[in-house]
Amino acid sequence: MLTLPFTKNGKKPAESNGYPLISLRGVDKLYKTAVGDFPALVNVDLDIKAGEFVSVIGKSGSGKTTLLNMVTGIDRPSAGEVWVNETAVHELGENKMARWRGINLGIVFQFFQLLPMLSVIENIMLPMDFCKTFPKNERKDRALALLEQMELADHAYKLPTALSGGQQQRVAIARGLANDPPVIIADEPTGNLDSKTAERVFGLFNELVAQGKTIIIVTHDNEMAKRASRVALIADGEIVSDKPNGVKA
Amino acid sequence: MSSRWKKVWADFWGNKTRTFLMILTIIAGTFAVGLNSNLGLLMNRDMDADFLSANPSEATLYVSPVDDDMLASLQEIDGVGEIEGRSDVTAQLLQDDGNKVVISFDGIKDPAELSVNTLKPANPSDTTLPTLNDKEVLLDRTAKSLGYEIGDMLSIELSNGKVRELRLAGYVHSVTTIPYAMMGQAQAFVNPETLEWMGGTADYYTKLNLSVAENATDQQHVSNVTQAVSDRFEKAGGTTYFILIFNPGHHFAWDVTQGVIVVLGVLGWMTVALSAFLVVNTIVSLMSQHSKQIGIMKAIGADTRQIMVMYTTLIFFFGVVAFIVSVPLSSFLGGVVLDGMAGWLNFDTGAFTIFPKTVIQQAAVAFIIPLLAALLPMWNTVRITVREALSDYGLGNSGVKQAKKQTKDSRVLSRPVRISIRNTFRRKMRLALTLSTLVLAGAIFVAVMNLFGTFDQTMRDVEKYFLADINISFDRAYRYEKVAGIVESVPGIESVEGWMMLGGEIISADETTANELALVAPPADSTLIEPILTEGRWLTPGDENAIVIGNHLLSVRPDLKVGDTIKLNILDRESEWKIVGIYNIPGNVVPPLVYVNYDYLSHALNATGDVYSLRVITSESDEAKVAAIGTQLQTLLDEKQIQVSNIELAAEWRLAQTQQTDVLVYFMLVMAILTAVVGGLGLMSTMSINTLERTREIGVMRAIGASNFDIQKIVLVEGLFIGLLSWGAGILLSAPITSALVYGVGVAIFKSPLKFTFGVDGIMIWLAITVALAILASAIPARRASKLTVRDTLAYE
Repeated sequence: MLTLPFTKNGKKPAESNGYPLISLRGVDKLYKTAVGDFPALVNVDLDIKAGEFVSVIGKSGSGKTTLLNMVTGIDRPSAGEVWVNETAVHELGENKMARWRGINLGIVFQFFQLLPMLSVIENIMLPMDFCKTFPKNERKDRALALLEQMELADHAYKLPTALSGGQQQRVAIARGLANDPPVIIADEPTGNLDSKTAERVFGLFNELVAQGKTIIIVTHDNEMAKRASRVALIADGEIVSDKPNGVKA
Repeated sequence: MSSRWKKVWADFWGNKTRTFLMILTIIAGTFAVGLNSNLGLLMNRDMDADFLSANPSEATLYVSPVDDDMLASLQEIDGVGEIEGRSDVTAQLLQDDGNKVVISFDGIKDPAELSVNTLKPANPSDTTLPTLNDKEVLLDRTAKSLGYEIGDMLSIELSNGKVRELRLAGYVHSVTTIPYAMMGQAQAFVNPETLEWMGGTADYYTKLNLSVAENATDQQHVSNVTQAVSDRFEKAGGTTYFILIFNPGHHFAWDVTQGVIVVLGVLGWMTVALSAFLVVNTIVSLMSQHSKQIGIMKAIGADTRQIMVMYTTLIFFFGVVAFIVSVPLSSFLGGVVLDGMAGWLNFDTGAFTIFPKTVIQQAAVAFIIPLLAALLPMWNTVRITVREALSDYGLGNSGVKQAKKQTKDSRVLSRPVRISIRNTFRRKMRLALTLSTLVLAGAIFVAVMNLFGTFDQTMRDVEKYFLADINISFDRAYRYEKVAGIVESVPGIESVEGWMMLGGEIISADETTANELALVAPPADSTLIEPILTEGRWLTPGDENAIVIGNHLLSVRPDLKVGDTIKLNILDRESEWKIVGIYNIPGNVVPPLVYVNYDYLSHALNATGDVYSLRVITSESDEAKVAAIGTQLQTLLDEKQIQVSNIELAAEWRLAQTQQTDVLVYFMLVMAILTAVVGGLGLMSTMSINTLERTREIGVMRAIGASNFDIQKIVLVEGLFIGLLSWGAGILLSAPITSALVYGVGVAIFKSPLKFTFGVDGIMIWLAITVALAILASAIPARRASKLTVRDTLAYE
């Protein structure tokens, strides 16, 4: 069982207070292309409460990643509002957004996106350095503790290229947890992993949810999606189904 | 160290090639500015410090004999600081190989007791001067190249043909003497008794070295004080034959070195501009490579300011290393070059110094300029959003715009060559910066080569006034028929002309002041002068009091124009002359030369048929054969007891002149090569970055069958294409730079703008350098690209 080290306030990171932790209201996203406007999201409404584990599934080009980008502030809606942890993400400037994102969201990318010139432990310490969420003298211990949780402590001082894909993805998750954010966002976190490793990563996510984290993942693997507590199906930029797991669409 | 600073260090240390190129780029500018600044400061400090320590005279008056009483009365004139009399004798040093060297002897009582133009030990570490006894001689140290050792006996042929043997007592450092290598005349010192033994006088002085009490660098003031001394002397019954005032208060090479320093300074800052272009180029590509990393850092919480600080620190690191390398390197090489210049221009150097002014300039070039150059590209990249940074998957378009029309197939160029050419234009800003660097480097190189050509042309222009193969000067006037007959009896002589040369003065319109000049009187039908006229006409047979003046007289008498009548004082007789033309001659000519008809001048002086020099044309074009004729002439004239003061070969004269300009050209060439190196670095950096960016494309090409050679060819052709583009543009830009350089150097060094010369040599040499640079700069990236495997390239992130 994963136990998160050094949580900032000693309680579950996000307490449910009846209000959604993440809320999208009437979100549209239009991309301008050479052949005309392409609607990536159409009037999307989505509420996610603290402690939920939500899988967003859909075909390639359906708008899954765009939806995540709205939540992370990586992209901005053409219309509508995005609220995360009581912050109007759609109104944040790029600079404030970076700091806010670092503290509130842990992002895990499909291609891991570890900085190749930094060691594994340095990659994990980097968000803490930027956001100063933990005192300087605690950062290394916290990074090591996170690596231990990921069973990668032995690899702390290796460069990312020396690790397998699954190991790199676990490092990326550890980095996502570095600032102890209430929300973890993962875009195709198992897309580049074999099924056994993917299984392990999902196990980690489940443990994090049990610790109180809110997790949203994008995947096109329906079997994996079923491991989440809730599954949202997106097609042509619209959420066509949004149900707790085990309920037939 | 926190992780973010570890990243900065990893960026610095992790890619050593890029770091090396970046540092080298900054070093080029920092070193160039440091070297030029150090050299300028050291030259200005040491050259004048050594010169002024000799209490130099600002003016020399060549006069009828002066005794000590007269000298004491001249010392009392207002404005005179020190005035010292010397007697001198000019003779010829007979060398073992039969050659003769003109040598001038000054009579001095004690080498250590001179008050003006003092002497110092030849070796700066010595504290005492050698003593001077009867029949001993001291030589200025610049004559060491003649090969005499202390204790050797020197054979001196006097003007009356007698030979005296003098023992070389030692070498001294006479900083106020123009070096032997430049003047072609050695300076020697003997005691008054020895001078008398050699035909001079021990009781009187024939030369007055005058040092003014104040305002030593004020030419007008020095001229006024000198004139007052001359007037007092002439009132007392003496005669002033000639006054020499040259660049008062400064070492004789001061003006030239100032020009050199200014021009080198300009080239140095141009190198800084090139270096800044290259920094921009490298930073643009670095940032483009790092955009994804920046996106990730932003995704995990870094703000724009934090990332800016990280990259600013990285650039600061590059600057620190460049600074640490450049400061001692430029100081050391500045010292080495200074030693060379000091040996050449005959001055002692001072202690090694690191000048704060230079260090500040170098710090600015190493730290501020790269930061300023990098600021915009850094800012543009760190502002990138996370989505933009992370959205670049697959091959992307990487600078390729959607073509509006389908491109046509070329029958001339193969597809890989077309890929190379299209690749060239994909990153237009990067191409523009690379081209800017190479174009500027090429333009500077071609301009310096053109300056080389201009110097050559200038020498040819100067030679038009001295067209003879051999110039024979006599100690006194001889009948032309007599000396010409002797000379023409030597085989190989084609023609001889007899010329007259006299000192004189031009009197101002209000008759209050006079300026020294020298009258040159060739025969009216002379074929040995091809003047460059800027106004009016040249002398014609039948001209009587016609005179042609030159640019040097105009610089002291700018009011003169064609048609004016001027009053000259020649041998104490005043006469009026009408200006019929104005000629131009580059270079320093002191005093100014004016040309008059030989027939008229000799008639006016009751010296018809007398000549002071012969200009000889030989039928030989080979320098060695002309030199042999010169030796034969010397022997024959000696036999006939003709008192020759000097026989000068045109080739020797040309060599002495070009030695003076060669140093400047070599310096400029070094700077031009430095700019070429920077240009090459720019191209190498661009090609490396282009190749790196196209790693995936290379992978795809390899996957569809491209061989190592195909990949290498695509990269090499792109590099060559950029090189050739820059070559063409560089030629165009070299025209205005040549024009500015030729004008600036002409005014600074030759006192007159030089004629613009645009040669093919520079263009062709730069073409060869460009091709070589392009191949060198592209070879490493091409090789690296061809070694990538398909798996590696397609996995590249």
